Amino acid sequence: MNLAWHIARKDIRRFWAPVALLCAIAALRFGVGASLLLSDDSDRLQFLRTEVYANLLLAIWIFVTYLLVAAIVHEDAAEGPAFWQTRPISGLKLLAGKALGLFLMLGLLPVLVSIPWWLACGFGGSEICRAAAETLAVQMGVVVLALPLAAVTREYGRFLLWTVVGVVAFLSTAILSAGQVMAANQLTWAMATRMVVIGLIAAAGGAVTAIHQFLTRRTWRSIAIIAATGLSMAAAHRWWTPDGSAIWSPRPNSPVGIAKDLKISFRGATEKPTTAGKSLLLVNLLAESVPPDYILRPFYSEQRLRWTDGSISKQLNFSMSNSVPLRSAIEPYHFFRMEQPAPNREAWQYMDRHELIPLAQWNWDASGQSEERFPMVLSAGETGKLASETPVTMAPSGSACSSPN
Amino acid sequence: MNIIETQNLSRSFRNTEALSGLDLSLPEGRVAALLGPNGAGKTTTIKLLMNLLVPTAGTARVLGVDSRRLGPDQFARIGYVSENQQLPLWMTVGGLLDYCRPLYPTWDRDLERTLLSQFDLPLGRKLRLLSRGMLMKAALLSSMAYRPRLLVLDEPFSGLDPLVREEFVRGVLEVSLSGDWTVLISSHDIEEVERIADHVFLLNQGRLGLSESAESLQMRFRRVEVQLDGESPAPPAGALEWERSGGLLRFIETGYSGEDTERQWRERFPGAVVTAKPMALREIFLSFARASRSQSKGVAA
Repeated sequence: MNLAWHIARKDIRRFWAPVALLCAIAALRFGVGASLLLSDDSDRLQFLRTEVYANLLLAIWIFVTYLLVAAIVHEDAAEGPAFWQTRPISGLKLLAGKALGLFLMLGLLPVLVSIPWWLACGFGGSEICRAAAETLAVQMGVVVLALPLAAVTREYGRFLLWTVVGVVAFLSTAILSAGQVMAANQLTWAMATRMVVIGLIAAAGGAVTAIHQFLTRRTWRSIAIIAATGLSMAAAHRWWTPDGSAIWSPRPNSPVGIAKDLKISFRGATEKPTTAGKSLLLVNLLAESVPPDYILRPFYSEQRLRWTDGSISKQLNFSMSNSVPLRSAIEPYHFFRMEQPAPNREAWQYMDRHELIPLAQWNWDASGQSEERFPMVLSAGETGKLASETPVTMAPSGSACSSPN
Repeated sequence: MNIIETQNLSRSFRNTEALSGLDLSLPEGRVAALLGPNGAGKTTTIKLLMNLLVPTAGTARVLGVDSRRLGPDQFARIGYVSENQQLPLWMTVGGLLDYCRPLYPTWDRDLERTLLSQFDLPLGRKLRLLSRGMLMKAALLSSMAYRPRLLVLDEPFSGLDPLVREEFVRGVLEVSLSGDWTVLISSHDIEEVERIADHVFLLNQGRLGLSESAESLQMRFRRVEVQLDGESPAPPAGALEWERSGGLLRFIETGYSGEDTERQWRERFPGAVVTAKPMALREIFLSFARASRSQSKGVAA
């Protein structure tokens, strides 16, 4: 442990400047967040602009992290001759030192730098823990990707070359299997478990490659391990799950037990004419007694209007898996509560113009109450009917699941 | 005990055989020179000994351990300095010493101070700002301050000016005289090596040409001149660079053994004036290298 710390401390001294740059990028992201918080939310353009800035800074952050992993590993390269190889440092101790340094510089430090910002955003203890875990997960994910490639190279040129090879292989696999992904859209959870399996294979392969390379310095064998890992990932992508079904089925958390007092009630409907001569019928539901730590996430509704002539207008609404938690470290809106009136208004107009069945819009407040709006787009004929009569039946029904905040 | 011992040590790079069937042993306490022309296999040998390369055949044992299994315990007792060594150039001299010190339980602060002052190294200067000579001295200091049992120097003098070479040699000499250090130096710089080495390994085209103590080598090699009146006889066995110019016959005797050899000369060259001069290690190396080259040309032809 002492030797690992000795090596990590040396790396910290060596890379304090690039790590400071990483912290500066974090500070810039916070600046973007602060500018949003201080500005008028209704300015859609500013919102989009700052979203681009936030995402760009996130991309730069991840890229710098990726390059830094290579630089830190190359400092004591496990490929070719290096200073440490004729010093009393074992490959395993060196790897432990590198892992410790990577964790401290690229994992712990970004979390520590972010904590004041999270506090300023009003995050509570559990939210800070979640945001820290998210930050660590992303950073360590980048480390897991970069570490094996950095271990089998000794300079940036080859590292970036192997990166390009990896990206091309990944994209090729994704494109070749795109048909399968589209066909498997019913197997959401199978796909999810597939991603988990692929991630586990990548993590295990990366770890084995790094350990093998640092212990033996047999580069070609390490590259063979990387190739085998890639093939295993592709095989998992193609054939997981073995019988084409999910290992476990999606079971929405039932409000029963968690939110046994949850009540969803029909609050009425309002008509809203559109520019295309159609009507937008807004159906309002009120959800009450949602537990404070949960949000209500509608994902399906079915609406029927029975007209006096016996005809029925029917429309289904689906939520597109908007599963972003209320506050997230990585998501660029993490400094916001989920209310996003300006972009939603724009989105509604867009969907209206294109006759899309929109997502359910939902607003919530801190007391746990949320108001759901299930829009219904009517044709020109139905709009005419709506002007002259009140539909006989207006029977919205729906289902929802709740999830921890 | 042999600090270094190799058996049939071989290494090929694709179709090129860099080292072939090397058998050598270096006893403890010796200062040995590994000599040879470019491409003889000196650096390959040292890299194999230091586990920086894996042999394609044969074995090498260093400090009693298979070179492929050298670990921290052994490297804590081995000092290695190479002209191609990767050093953390971003560190200062002091930073390098601070980094190395905790790695070695036997680190001697007094020796560090002595060498530091002897080498005149600026503690606060970054390694990348040092001249080549200063850099080599810093590497040597960081490899000597823990009093290694084995010091391996791969072409340490190349590119160094005479003053730095002198300091370098003095440093190695002082420590090698002060204890049971075993030193292996690979170099082209035979004059400098001659002052240090008491044993010579001569490599040629990946093979061991000779392994002998420097004293014995210098004892048995003589540059001989013979003033002849008549026909020159056939060259004796082991004679190198046999040539006649007018009445003067020159050759190099490789098996000189005092009275016995001189008696043989008198019998071979009756009435002739024979003078024999001792040879420097450099001359011996050059005559050996020339002989090996002409021999290989002959084989090729």
